[in-house]
Amino acid sequence: MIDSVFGVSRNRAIASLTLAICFTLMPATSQTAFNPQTAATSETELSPQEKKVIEHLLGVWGKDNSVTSVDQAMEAVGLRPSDETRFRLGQHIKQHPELHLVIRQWGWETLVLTPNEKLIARAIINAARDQKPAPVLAEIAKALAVSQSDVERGLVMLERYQILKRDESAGGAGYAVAAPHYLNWHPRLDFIFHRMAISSGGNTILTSVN
Amino acid sequence: MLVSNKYSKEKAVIEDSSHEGTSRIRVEFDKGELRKVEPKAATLFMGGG
Repeated sequence: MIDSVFGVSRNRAIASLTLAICFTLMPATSQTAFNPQTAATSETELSPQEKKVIEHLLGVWGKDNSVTSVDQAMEAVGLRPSDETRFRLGQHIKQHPELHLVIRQWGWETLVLTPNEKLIARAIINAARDQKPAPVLAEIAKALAVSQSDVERGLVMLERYQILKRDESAGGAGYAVAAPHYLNWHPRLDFIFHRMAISSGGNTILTSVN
Repeated sequence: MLVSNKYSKEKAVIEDSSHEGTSRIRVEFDKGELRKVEPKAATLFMGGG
């Protein structure tokens, strides 16, 4: 069998790791300004369509090392892309780790955030962890090869999930780490993604693997 | 493993990232064969059980 593994350096062994990447990068820096939003804390009621997404995830998680993400599942069941819907589903998963071992094993962050959001989180958190100046919006956008408005959207989502918080005194994009434990996460494991798109018979299967 | 077994007859695009920062890595396989790696500086190990 072939594992496509990119030179990875993880200190914590993951027996089921299929893909690993070791790629030396420049720490991202940047700065931003945008709209604050509060994080939902109440129990999330899901619509029938949203429940289909959860059912899809519960059906695929763990199979072939799947850690399929919410956005991938939304696409799989034909749900229109929507940050609001994705957030509602994410909140539900965050509030219900009892739903599946994969949530407890890999953390809700792995499942509910998009790659952009994970990379934005890394940009902010890595700077704080390394005691470097907070990156500005333009720097994050450049590092991720996305628009500044995409970074703003991501920051809003990270704030809603209470991963980051608005903090003008933080400098840079104006966000700081909301939960101190994110600073202590293992640097090789936080906010990871290994996404696959498999073209098969005219269809595309979307999945993420651990 | 998925690329070389379950999806060995398919085309697979893998999106990943550097763990140390925010750089993206994209790899394409076709019928189990590596076709493309971006950025080229990424180090790719092929192996496994």
